[in-house]
Amino acid sequence: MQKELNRDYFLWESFKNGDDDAFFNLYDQYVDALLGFGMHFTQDVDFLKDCIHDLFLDLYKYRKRLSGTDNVKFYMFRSLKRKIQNELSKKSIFSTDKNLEIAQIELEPAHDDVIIETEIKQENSDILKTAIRKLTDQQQQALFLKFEQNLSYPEIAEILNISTESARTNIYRAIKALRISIQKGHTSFNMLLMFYRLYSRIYR
Amino acid sequence: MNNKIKQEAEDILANEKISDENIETLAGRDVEKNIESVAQARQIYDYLKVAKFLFPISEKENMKSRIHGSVMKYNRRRKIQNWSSAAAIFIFGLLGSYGIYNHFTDPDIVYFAKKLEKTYPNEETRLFLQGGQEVLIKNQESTIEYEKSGKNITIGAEEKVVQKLDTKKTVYNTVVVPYGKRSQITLGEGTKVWLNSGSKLVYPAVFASNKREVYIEGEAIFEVTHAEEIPFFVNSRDFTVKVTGTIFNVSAYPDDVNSSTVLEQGKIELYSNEKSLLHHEKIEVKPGEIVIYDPANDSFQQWKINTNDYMSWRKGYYVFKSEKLSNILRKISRYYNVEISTEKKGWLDETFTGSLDFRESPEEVLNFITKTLPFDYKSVNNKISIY
Repeated sequence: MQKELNRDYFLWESFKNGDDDAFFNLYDQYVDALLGFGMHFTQDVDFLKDCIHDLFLDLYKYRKRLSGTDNVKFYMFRSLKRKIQNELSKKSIFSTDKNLEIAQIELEPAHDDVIIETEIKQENSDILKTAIRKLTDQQQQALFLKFEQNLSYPEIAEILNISTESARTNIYRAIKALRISIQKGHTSFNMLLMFYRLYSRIYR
Repeated sequence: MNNKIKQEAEDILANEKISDENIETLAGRDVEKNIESVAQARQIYDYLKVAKFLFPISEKENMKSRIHGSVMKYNRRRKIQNWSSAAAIFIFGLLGSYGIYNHFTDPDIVYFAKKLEKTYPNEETRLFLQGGQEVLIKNQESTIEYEKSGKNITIGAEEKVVQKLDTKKTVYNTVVVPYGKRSQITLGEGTKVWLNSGSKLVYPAVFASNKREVYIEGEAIFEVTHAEEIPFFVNSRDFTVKVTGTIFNVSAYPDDVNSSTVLEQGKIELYSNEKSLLHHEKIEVKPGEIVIYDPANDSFQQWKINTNDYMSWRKGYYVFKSEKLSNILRKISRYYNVEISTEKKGWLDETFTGSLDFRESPEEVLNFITKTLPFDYKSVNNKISIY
């Protein structure tokens, strides 16, 4: 983890000092995270791509004036969110399409292989998927930032414009809802399987 | 279920320091007692951890080349601004034209082509369209024809393919022809390209209004539709060919030291890709000439030849004049997708003159050569060894 942060730090610094390769390295490293993050705020993929394009172009244009940061991901998320919101507010003057603003995200597991790899059974992920859809937007965003993106509570709070305490509460409530959903959904047979897996994990 | 256990799953997951390794230890010392909540926590954790949105690599690369293009445009504009504020008129006059801003940057298409995966499984000809859509073509000799809009494509006599195109963004298509196969592509504005074995052609589905630009790796013959105001650029590893309308051959295989071009009709200009501020190798080619690029000296060598010797491969035969056996063997190997090894290297520098019909089997081609170069060979399972 520490190593990863340092690598990003150097990448960021060399980008600021005019290294174009570092700039495109940053793109390669963060494009997935940014797309995933952006999908929580808009469902219009082309619009999102435009925003990410503009974000990188801005970074490039103002590179000399960028501050140093040891958490590039956090920095980019915050900037992308601002960008999306600015563009959306511009857009909403011209269009009445409210759907864009109340982005209802749908958490589709991305790839079958990935699911097999992480040994999550289809049944469980279906239950969790349904449960996640019932969470508030903010809870979903907070979950994504904490688990998929490994951000800290203060960072999540700042990106979502809420206090650290509410970030914590949001996540706690979200997890609780998920936990209850799988508890309800489980047959005892599944539970047995789970115990077996866990035992072999601990006492290997 | 007792209350204490119920709380544990949330407590474990909400922990600031949670990671893949420590879920079990976060449950406290008595893991067995908390086993159910740990299992629940693990399940939820595993689910949340998996990235939910994965975009195709091609889309991300498209975005990247778009950003690259915008960055280059920005740099150009900024240079112009800087200069205009400092005695720019003088410098403008001195350095000539707008071309100088383009001088050090690869065109977007070259950037895109270089980012493409280097290797593909080499059994079928592949056509890559918008958004990573991929079409496999089984025929040994295939044709691909675009209609004007770039959206509708006919493969062979019958198969039709459609791709969606956004008018604002340039979409690049790619044809990859493996060893042992050939393909003939007709682009939307009428230009025809014959792609030889082991080649790759990258081109926009629709050309821009002010220039036409493609990228070639390997060998191809271009029959470019004439349009004086819309120059056609063929980018390759070592040089760029600028044409308005003509027929010519480009050979730029990654495993050949020298790239070359042969002009049959019209006029072309070659620009070396090696650039420094004061020197940019450029040469004009006349019909009936071959130009070979020498990478060691960044220079072109040019002389008269019989163009048919270099264009005949699209009709299935090669003409050689004092050509080294090593070069001929490499052509046979690509054309038929066979491995050729030589035990006695001495033969490789011997030369052969004559025409070889590649519509026959590789063995028959070799038999013909052995009439003047008496080497022996054996052929087993698509592998030929010469001794």
